[in-house]
Order: sequence, then structure tokens, then C-alpha cells
Amino acid sequence: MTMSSNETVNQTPDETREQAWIRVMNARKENRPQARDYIAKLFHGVFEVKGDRCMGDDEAIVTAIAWFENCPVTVIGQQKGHTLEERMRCNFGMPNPEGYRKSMRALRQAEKFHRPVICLVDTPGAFCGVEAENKGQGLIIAEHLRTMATLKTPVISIIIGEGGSGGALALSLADRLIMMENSYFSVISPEGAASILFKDSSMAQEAAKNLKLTATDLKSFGVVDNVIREPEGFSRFNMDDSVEDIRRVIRAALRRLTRIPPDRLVENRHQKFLNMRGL
Amino acid sequence: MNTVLVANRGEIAVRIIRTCRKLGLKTVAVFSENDEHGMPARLADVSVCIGPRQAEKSYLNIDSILAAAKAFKADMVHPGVGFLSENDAFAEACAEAGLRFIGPDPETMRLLGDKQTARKTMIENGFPVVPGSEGTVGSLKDALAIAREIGFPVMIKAAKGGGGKGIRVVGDAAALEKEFALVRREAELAFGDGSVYLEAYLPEARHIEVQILADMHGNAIHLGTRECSLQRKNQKLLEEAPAANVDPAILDAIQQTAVDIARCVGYKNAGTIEFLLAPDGRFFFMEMNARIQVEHPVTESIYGLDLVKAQIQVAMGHHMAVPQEQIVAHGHAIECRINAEDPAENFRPSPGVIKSMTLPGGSGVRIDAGYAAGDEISPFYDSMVLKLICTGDDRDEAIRLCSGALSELSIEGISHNAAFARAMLADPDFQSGRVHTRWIEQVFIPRYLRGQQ
Amino acid sequence: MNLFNEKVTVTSEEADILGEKPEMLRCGGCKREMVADIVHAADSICPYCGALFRQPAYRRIETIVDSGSFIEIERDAESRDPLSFPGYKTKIESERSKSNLQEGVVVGKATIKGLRTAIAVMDSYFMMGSMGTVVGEKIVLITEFATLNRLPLIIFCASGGARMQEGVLSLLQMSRTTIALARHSEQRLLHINVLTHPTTGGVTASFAMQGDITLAEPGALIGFAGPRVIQQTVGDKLPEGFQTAEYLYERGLIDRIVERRDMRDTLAALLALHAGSAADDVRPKTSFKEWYDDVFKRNS
Repeated sequence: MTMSSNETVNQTPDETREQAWIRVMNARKENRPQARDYIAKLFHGVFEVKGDRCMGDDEAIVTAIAWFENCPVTVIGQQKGHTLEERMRCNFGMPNPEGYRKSMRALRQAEKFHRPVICLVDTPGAFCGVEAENKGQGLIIAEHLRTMATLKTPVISIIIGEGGSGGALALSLADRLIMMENSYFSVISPEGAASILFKDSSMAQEAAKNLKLTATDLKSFGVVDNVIREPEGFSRFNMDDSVEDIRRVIRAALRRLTRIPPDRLVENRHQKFLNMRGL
Repeated sequence: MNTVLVANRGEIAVRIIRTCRKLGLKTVAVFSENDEHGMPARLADVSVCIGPRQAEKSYLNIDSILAAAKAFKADMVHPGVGFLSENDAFAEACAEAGLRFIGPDPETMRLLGDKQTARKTMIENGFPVVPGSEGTVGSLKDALAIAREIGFPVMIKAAKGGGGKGIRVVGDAAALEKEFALVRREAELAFGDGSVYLEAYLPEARHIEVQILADMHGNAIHLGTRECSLQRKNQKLLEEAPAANVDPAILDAIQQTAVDIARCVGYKNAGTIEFLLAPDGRFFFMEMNARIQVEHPVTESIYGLDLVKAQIQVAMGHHMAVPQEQIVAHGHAIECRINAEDPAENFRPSPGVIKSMTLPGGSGVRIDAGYAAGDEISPFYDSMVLKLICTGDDRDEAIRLCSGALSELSIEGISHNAAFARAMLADPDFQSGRVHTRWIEQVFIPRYLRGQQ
Repeated sequence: MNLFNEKVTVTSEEADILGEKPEMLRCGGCKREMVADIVHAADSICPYCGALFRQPAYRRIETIVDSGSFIEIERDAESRDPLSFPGYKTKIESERSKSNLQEGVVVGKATIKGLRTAIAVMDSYFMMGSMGTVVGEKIVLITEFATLNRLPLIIFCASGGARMQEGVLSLLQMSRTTIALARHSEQRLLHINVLTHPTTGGVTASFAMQGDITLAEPGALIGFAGPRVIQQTVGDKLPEGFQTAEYLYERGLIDRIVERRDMRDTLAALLALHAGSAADDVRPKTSFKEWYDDVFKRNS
């Protein structure tokens, strides 16, 4: 199902529920393009930087310096893994504190060198293990948010798959927030919501509808700036059209954002979020 | 009007709960964490913990107590003795919370609670007061001047004191200079207010008090006198009703003055006016306690009434119907306070668990106990275990009855002063009424200790 | 002797009122049940064993600030139910009827031992202290107020996480509060967090961990993911004391654990230490009313 980002369609409740759940399922599809796939297509001359200079290297997060067309950029992506082996290495895209610390290192370096930052968000959530808590998972996400809030260089975030709660939000405090048509961004997983609301996680479909987590929903809330179409049969082997759309959106955004003096840029970013009152 | 919250502990809480039961009223007991298994908690219909053992966090914690009253839908609050019983802020808070406070109005409490304001009021209205300073004494210089005028020895008293605390006697100017600042500091720490006033110290004076009862409709009566001269460190050990060996005309005058004072301040409910009776027959207002007193049973015994019941009825707005002339006392009552202390060791407190108790009984013998066998007398609160009240047709009978009852009394597990009390009853000074407020300390204790050897 | 005209009468129906039980709480420490109002009158501390109960916001404020100095703002802010989430409006109504709390946080200004401060106190009795658009907005507003008036900010945190019923808009409050606090920090103003039981989820992962000084109450549960979820993820038993304030303190995540009875003094001491750090000669830029009106012009 394809939809232009500017269309609104009147739907029945059943259709809404279906659509929300379809989006969620698509966001989680195995052959969906992941961060490394986008990096390979969107950027060239990619130099991957590793490690958090403190505790280790978390493969759930990819950080790299690369060229976007003729502009050096910093790329930060959340990688889930296509093969079982990769998924284990990447912890299924659930970052530990080391991952967010690595990301913060990349952010600060980008700021130092006035490189725009492009984040590719795709995670079921931050990892909730004992060691992750011990190392301050909450604290590191808070610090990551703070760093992004005051970063004196343009930030563009794209939700390419699952926008799982705080773990995803950490990378989305940006000047532009873009969502792929079949991605979702939610405060809690549909299954989690279902078990709380209906005491039955198989009611996830109903919960997904109530959570209003699709790209369309978020566009209507004014939270997301652009929604990128995904053509029929969209997969990591068939992504070129969408990549072209993304490229166009990034190019336009960069052109505008790199012209704004850093202080003004930060101020605009603040106002963007402060104005999302929702009240 | 059917549920009373008893904002106290120990013997007086038990006393109040028993009368409430007699009247068909429900009772709510509050206790600190230390008193979880005490008698009040066992006897009341509901009981609830209101704080840890420190009094200011529990028995003095107005918020907690009001929360308990609200939670268990109490209509009335009886504050007992000590703790919040003379706290006008508490009385006001009760009123604001829609609870009937069993006691006088907050304004009256404020007036009488500040000892030197009370004194001033008495002076203004022409009642006899112990010679002393007009108001509080601000400086040592003023103190010395006043002391010179009224004559040594003088007593330095805390304006916000009570229950015998915050009092010092000084015999000359040098002692006054030494103690003045100390008493002020003690008062500041104990009562939150360091104001003091001076009173002449009347040697060999007797402490005679009058029980007052007034309803909310302007009727006020007295219920006779009590002799409370037997004190040690300003704490009463033994009380009698009526006061004996006093010229009846003087007693009459004291009683009438008391009623006049009660009317003058617009007193409501039960209260006690304390006087000092000098050897030459002059008497002086000392202070008025705006609550029921520990020694109230001796009055109850000779008049055949229940003062706690009367308090509750006053609070319910009932009208007193019996004129003063028709209120007649019969016989003589003596109360001994039995405390967990060791007279041989300078009255050192002797806290501990009561292993067993054997109590006397019979005609004219009443025991008001706050503890039973198995209960613990804790070191955190006062050390009174029980009160023994003996009533006879006359004073000699009462003395013999009391002495016999004391010999029957036994409490295992703690030291107590029953033997000491018995020795006092046998003393010729006591029997002939040649006692005064310093008699125990100055005369009897040395005599007693000598006798022990 | 009966001194009175009237007799004391108690009818049997009246005497039965004691049947209805008041609201009770169970102490997590000694397991005793006790009357809620009494516990909260005693500073929300168990009188038997000293364990801390979650303290209602208004009571917390009373014990911390100078008597009568607290001025609340934004008390009546209400959620718009942006997702039209089924049952949400009813839930809010029912929570509001439980006590005088209107939402999950109380914000305003006060003095502590004479030192002026902005203060926000979350209350976990209101929908588990979950952060939705109203909680987020109130924290943003009080932070902006503090920034404008050059006031330090003290936040008492207590939350079960982001409020599910407002979806991604709840999540967004993490970003918004972060930004407001970053702007406050830029003015070299002090932000103190007091983490109380429980502080979890999106609140932990945003403003609760962004303070200059992070204090915690003894035994408080503080973490990002909930203990049950972690248990399910790892399968093993959780370590002893996991996610308690003491546990975090050992791991360098907290500055100090402060007993409830010492909290006011500690906060006053910190405020005094920092009183010189913001230029004293800078007066508030506008009156409170002007600022307030300006903020709401932004929305309409």
C-alpha cells in the first residue's frame, strides 16, 4: 500500500487498526533495509569509527564519517542484523550504554568539525539487561538527549524501521525528523501496551491502533517533517526509489540547515520542540 | 456524638476509655510504636499507631492525631493530662477539623497556659497572688530589683512551664545571679519559650487546690479541695481530699475564690486552681490547670461522681442541674502514686517488664492502673505504674486503709515506691498535718533513709 | 451523683459507624498495615520501622519549603487526550477525584530557608506518576520560569515512565524537558534532582539524570527499564538490591543519598552554595504576568 505523504484518507476503524498493524509488521520485516544498507546507498567514502573510548564497542550502533554528495557528514545508525550471526552481534539492534556513548562521541566530533549529522533510527528499544542498568542506561540516554539538544551542527534523523520508545527517541532530537512510510514510532511496543491494557499481548493489533504510532499519525501530530514513500515490494534488494526520495529530502534540508548560523540553528531546534505542546 | 479519640497513653488513657465504655461511647486509642501492646490499645474499640516513640512525633503530633480522628470518624477528642492537654493550638485544630475538644476554649487555654499572663489577669481582677513580678522579667537587673522588693528566697518560674517543670528556688542575690540565665535557657529548650517570672518563695506553704467544673451555659461549681503538698522535685506523690487540718473558714474562702476565678475567666469543663496556703492563713493563687488532673480520683471518691463522665457531658453541651449547696462530700480519700522508681537509689527510674502484680481490693479501695502483668514500663515516658485511692469515713480510717492496701500491693519485675509511701503514711508529721511543699525533700527523705539503715 | 439534667444516650445505629475502614497502606519494610492519612501526617515514614512511603506532592512541598512560601502555577492544566485514547478521559477524572491532585506533577516557586527557588514535585499516586503532555509541559514551563527569573530549579522525580495513553507525544516530553533544562543550564543556573521511589522509564532517561546534583531517597527504585522486564530479558534472578538508590550510588550514578528528615537542610545548603553563581545584579526580565501571557500567546 502506498500513500503520498500529503494525502489523508477517511478510514473505518477496522481499516485503521489493520493499517497500524500492517505498518508495524512491515517495520519489523526481515528483508527490510537496515542502517548499513542505507549507508551503503546514500553515502560514499564511508569511514567507520568504533568504540566509546570508555567501555567497549557496541555493534547495535554504527558510527561513521562519510560523504553525502559533496558534503562530509557524520552518520549514526542503529543496526539490527540480517543474519542470525549479525543479529547476535548487534544485540538485535538494542543498544547498551556503550552504544549511546559511542554515538555521543560521534556527535561531539561532528560538532567540532561542523559536520551535519544523519541518524538512522531502527530499534525495538534500548537493551534492558542488568549490566545495561548498572552502567546507567537511563543516564546515558538522558545525556545523549542533552547533547543533541545543544549540538551546534545540523541534525537529520530518519526512522527507517522500528522507533522503539526511549531507545529510539534518544537519536531523534533533530532539526528534521523523517519517517519511512512503514516505520513506526511508539512510546511502548504494541505487545507491551496490549499486556497492560488488555492483559493479553495477542491484542497487540488493537493496541497498535490506539497508540497512533504510524508515520501518518505522527505527521498529523506535527512531530514528523517528511514521510518517504515505500513502493510495492520494498526491501533491501529493492530500495533505490526510496533512497532517491531520501537523498532529495536530505539534500534540500542540508542546503537550508547548513546556511543557518549555529546559535540560530540550535534556537530553532529548541523552538521546534518547545512548540509541540499537544495541550 | 458517639466516638471519642483518646489522645494520650498509660493510666489516664485507660481511665478515659473505661468511662467511655460505661457511657456506650466508642473509643479510638492512639499509640506510639512503643505502646503497640499497651492497655489502651487492648481496651479501645480501635487503636492506631500514630508515630515513633518520640513524643513530638506521636503523642504531640497534632497532624497524626487529627488524621487518626478523621480516619476513624471520631467526634470528640479527650487530651488526658500532659502532652497536648493544655495546647491551645491543638484545641483549635480540633475545632477546625469539626471535632469536639473535651476541655475549655482555646482562648482560655492560652490565657491560663502562659503562667505569667494568668498571674497578671488575677492581679487585675483583685485575686490574691503570690507576691512576685508583675509580668515576665527581662533582665537579671530587673530580677534582682524585684527579688529585693519581695524578699528572698524567690522562685524563678518559666512562663510557659507546667506540671512542676521549669522552677528554681534561689536563696539570695548570688544564687539568683547564678541561676537566672540557666532557668531561661532550660525553659527555652523545654517549652520553646525562655520567658520567666519571679514569685516569692513561701517557706512551709501548703499546696491546696480546688476542683472546678463548669458547663457551657455559665454554670460553675467547685468540687472541694485537695491537699497536694507531698511533692518531690515538684512532682506530686500523694494527694488527699478534702484538705485536712485547715480552718474551715479559710477552706470556704479558698473554694469561693476558685469559683469566682473560674467565672472570671469564663472557664468551661473541668479544671483545677492551685493555691499556696501560708502558715499564717493567707492564701495565694498559684496557677490554674485547664485540664483534668492525675489526682482527680480522690475528689471523685468523696463526692461519688465520675469526673471524666462530667467532662464528656459538658462537651456534649449538657446543663448542670445541681446547685452548689446540694453537692456534699463524704469521708476522706488518699491517693498514692506508685511509680517505677527506687527510693533507695535517689528515686532512679526502674523501667522494665512487670512480671506479676498482686493488687489490694475491698471496700473503699480503688486501683487505676495503666499496665497489667506482662506490660513494659518503658524508659521513654513517665514512670507511673498505677494510682491507689483509699477512701474512709474520716482521715484516720483512710490512712489505715491505705497503709493496709499498700502492704497488700506487690509488683514483681520493677522497683517501686509503695514501701516509701507506706512509711510516709506512718509518719507523725503526715498524720498531724504538719506538712508543706518541701516536707518530703527536706524532712521526710532524710528521715526515711536513716530509717532504712 | 449525676450532676446534669441530660443523660448520655448513644443509639445503636450511630454506634456502628466504625464499620467503614479508612484507606490503608502496607509498609514495604515491616509489612504492617496502617492508616494512610496517619502515615502521611508523619512525613510518610513508617512509625514502626522507619521505611519510607511514597510521599504525596503537596505534603512533600509542605515539609521542604518555608511555611506559606509556595506559590503554585499551572495547577489546572489538562490533557487534550490527543490520541483520543479509549478510557483515558475517564481515568483522568477518576484520578482527580481521589485527592486534590490535578495531574502527576505540582510546580511553582518557593523559598527554602529564605533562598528562592523554582520547584517541581512529581506524585506517583497520580496515574503512577506517568509523564504525559501535561507533566512534560508543566516541567517545561517551570524550567522556563526559572530561567527567566534566574532561579535554581529543584525537581523531585517519581514516575513509572512515559504515559502510554498519549503515545509518542509522551515520549516527546523527554526531548522537550531536555531542551528547556539545557537552556536553563546555559544561564549557569542550578538544577538539583531528588530521585524518589520509584523513578523509572522516560523520566530517568531524560530530566531526572540531567541535574547538576543528583540526590536520592534511601531505598528508592531508580532505573530505566522496569525490574520485571529486565527479569524476563535475562531470565536469571536479579542481583541483591538491584536498581535501589544505594546500588546506583555504588556505581557512581548518584551524588548522595539523603534521609527524608535531612532533605530540607541539604537542599538549603546546596542553594546557599550556589547563590553566588548567578549574577545577582540581573533582575528578572519581565513580570511574571507578562511572561505567562507571552508563553500562551505562543500556543494560540
